[in-house]
Amino acid sequence: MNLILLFDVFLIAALLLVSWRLLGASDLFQATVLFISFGLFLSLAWIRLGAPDIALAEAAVGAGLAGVLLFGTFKGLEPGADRENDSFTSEPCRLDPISPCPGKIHLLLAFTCVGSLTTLLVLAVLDLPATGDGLTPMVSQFLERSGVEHPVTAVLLNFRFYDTWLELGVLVAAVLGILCVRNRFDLRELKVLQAPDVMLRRLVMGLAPTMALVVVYLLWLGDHAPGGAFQAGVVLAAMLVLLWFSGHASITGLSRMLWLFCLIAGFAVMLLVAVVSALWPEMRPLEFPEEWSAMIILGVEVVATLSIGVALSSLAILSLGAVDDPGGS
Amino acid sequence: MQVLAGMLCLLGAFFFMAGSVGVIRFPDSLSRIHALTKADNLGLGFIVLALVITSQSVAVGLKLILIWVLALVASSSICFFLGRKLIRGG
Repeated sequence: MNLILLFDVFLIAALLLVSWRLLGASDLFQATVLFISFGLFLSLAWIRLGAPDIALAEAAVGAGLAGVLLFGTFKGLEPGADRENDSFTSEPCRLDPISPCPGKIHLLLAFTCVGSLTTLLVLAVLDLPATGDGLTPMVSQFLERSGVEHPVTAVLLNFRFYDTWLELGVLVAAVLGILCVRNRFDLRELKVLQAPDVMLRRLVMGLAPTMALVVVYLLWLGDHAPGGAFQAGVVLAAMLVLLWFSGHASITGLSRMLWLFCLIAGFAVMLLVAVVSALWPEMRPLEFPEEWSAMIILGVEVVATLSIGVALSSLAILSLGAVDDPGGS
Repeated sequence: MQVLAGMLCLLGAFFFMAGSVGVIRFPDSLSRIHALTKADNLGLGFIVLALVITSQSVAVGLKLILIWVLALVASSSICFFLGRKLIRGG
């Protein structure tokens, strides 16, 4: 018990240290690497709190995908200035050499906002009942009526269906946003920065089937254990990005219609479920009939995995792809 | 069995430690990659072995070995790519 406590203290100390170093980092590359390691420590903390679902999502999205997006962004911010450029001589107050130093008003504003947010969060935590299981008894009471055996999947895809639905909407909005910023309409002309080589092609060719297998396995696992659409979608996205990176046919080979179809399929299917259940007699919106719920959940999860994979890999490809000719000009 | 697994874990931790010391102490990037990938793969191998002999089912053991093989493939190819980039001075 004491050893575990020691580990927890180390974990908290590491989280605080990494976040402090992250805030004080002098260049963007260092800050990105520290952010990724912060995400990994955070996923360890989720494991210690007994939430492997969140830990998986945090490691994949918070550390992996966010890291890729940040690398892509800072490559766009300082073109040519790679990490060899160690003679970074600007003042420590600014990471981005172009932007001006924040004044006293900015700092005061930031401190007020962060301070009040922290106070609210601390008050919210203090407001929680000191003992008790929260909503756990309720979830386990209705678990057998949900159509799946894992409580997290039951909450995400049955009890709180609309949360997952809106999350998929957020992903579609994110892809739309980055399309606007990069001034593009599809992914077809996007190229890798360097020509892919034989070694990488062979490696990815060997790895891709294993990754596809892991996608299906994670998707199937969501029924009774930690896993499910989001985790499977992230692995699918990683596979698609690797395929693109090594010069194989990936989502950049899809036609625009097909790509958009895959992108919005998850959101659209959930919308369809919502509309059908709203119009069905003697049923409330987003309510499934019990005998069908297992099938509905599995179907929605498969389509959602496809959409999540395509959306996340589009984000990564759009932020890493070469910017030779913006499509609109 | 438990004692053997504990010893294998300690051995794995020793190799991880050696790899980390190497990353900090070695002078240039090539030897750092060498320390990191070789020693850490061996350390991971010992820890996976410890987990396999204490795991309850064959399926779990095979999954653990699969994780080790994937980590081996990934880290050695990343080592190759980084090393080639460093030698070419890219």
